[in-house]
Amino acid sequence: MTFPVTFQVFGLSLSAHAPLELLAWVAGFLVARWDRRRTPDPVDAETRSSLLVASVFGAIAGGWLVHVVHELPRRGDLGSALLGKSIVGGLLGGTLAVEWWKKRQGVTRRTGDALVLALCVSIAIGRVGCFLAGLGDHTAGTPTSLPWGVDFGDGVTRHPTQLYEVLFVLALGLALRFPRRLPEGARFDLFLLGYLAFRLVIDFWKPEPTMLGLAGTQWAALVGILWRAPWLVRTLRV
Amino acid sequence: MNSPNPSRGSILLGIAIAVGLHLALTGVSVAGMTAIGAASSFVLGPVLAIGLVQWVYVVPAAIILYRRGSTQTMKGLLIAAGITVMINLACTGVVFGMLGSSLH
Repeated sequence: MTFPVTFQVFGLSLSAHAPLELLAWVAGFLVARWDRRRTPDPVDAETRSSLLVASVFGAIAGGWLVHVVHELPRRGDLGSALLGKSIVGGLLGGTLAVEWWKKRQGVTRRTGDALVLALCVSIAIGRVGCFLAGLGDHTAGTPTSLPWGVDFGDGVTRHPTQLYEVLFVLALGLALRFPRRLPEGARFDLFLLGYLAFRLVIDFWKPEPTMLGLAGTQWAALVGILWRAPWLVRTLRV
Repeated sequence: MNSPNPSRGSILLGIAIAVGLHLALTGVSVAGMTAIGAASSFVLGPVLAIGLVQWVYVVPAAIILYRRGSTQTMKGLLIAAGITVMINLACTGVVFGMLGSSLH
């Protein structure tokens, strides 16, 4: 396989990243719809749609901010660090925006459980796109001699950390399907904390610039864990 | 979420409107490209920077939908516009390999 994988569109080379990311969003939407038919939504349709708007714009803001913090040590200047986004930042920003909107509107029900499987599927598909995009995506791992190491085109065999993440989120999504009697909100908290903990660990196997020993996304994951762990404790105590 | 409500519209309709507007922008860019006989950043720029350019038509469309009371359709439009920003943010530079965009 030659990296980056591209498609020819109107004579231009289009990275596989874009169509895979679009597919990730569509698949997530379809999975969320399917999941909602199996489990009643704790909020009405209009509230759910407002939450979606809040989560999307929160994800944009959070994803971009964490990306900039992450990239600054590598790029050295703000201008070239501006283009990109972070899944960790997106999840945290989206969650924060939803919690803020719910507090403003007086919504007390926990609303994230319905999106767990959709998020897992979306992240998995998106990460396949990252894998196909090769080194330019800055998501490949450190060099390795393990038999499943991948040469992304520079002659160095690396950890396919994108694929590790695909396997993890799919396993997480499946695992969180089975406990049927979790308190409302626990499923989402377990997903978020599980994903953040995974990123805190796996990012040690990525060649990322660090600040005080951790990359920007790891610092964001750590902050997210410290923020959200008490929520899970409170939820499980109810 | 997807049940059409005469007074509030539907999320899917809002997403469809956004996609239609994006395709129109792409069509205009491709037509321009064909007219000048070659790829041009001036013509393709609006498509490559669609995450920014789209607000030129998304904001007026959202205002129109809101004033008509089609709040669900408006939300679908905004959701699609937000997703467009996210896809564009990571992928623009990868197209030509000139800008170092990335996803973490």
